[in-house]
Amino acid sequence: MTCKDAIAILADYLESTLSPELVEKLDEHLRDCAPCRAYLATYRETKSLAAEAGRVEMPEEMKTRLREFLRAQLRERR
Amino acid sequence: MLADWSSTPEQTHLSAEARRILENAIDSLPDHYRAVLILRDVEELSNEEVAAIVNDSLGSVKSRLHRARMVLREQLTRHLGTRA
Repeated sequence: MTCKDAIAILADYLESTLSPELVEKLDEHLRDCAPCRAYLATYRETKSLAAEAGRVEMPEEMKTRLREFLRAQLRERR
Repeated sequence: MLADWSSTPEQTHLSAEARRILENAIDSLPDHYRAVLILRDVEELSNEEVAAIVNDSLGSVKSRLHRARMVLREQLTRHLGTRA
């Protein structure tokens, strides 16, 4: 497994949706690859910080744009 | 060596600086990416629920979510990585 392969499946790895075979291959890669271990740690942290930032305060303008985007998506579906 | 800032003091509590970096990074994402990131990581909806809301395939939602997180990670690394 290459570093690029490893990074491509990190989201599925964190959600535990990878096959046991892929988990084994990724674990093996992570054991030997410090940069990918650092990538995984910071990727996981990013997910958690983004959640925290979003829960504490989502700027009004961002909320408005999100609402507008979702409304547009709903309109497209009709 | 890739900087691992995940255990720096900024990580323990979201500092004002990290929040500003994150907000700017989230704000700069294209709408499709921002919506998926917020619905998934902030609102904690499932991938399937997000796919239904944004009217797109599960694969596309997962791909956009991953790319959005990578953009945010890159921004945080740029600002916090030098302290790791």
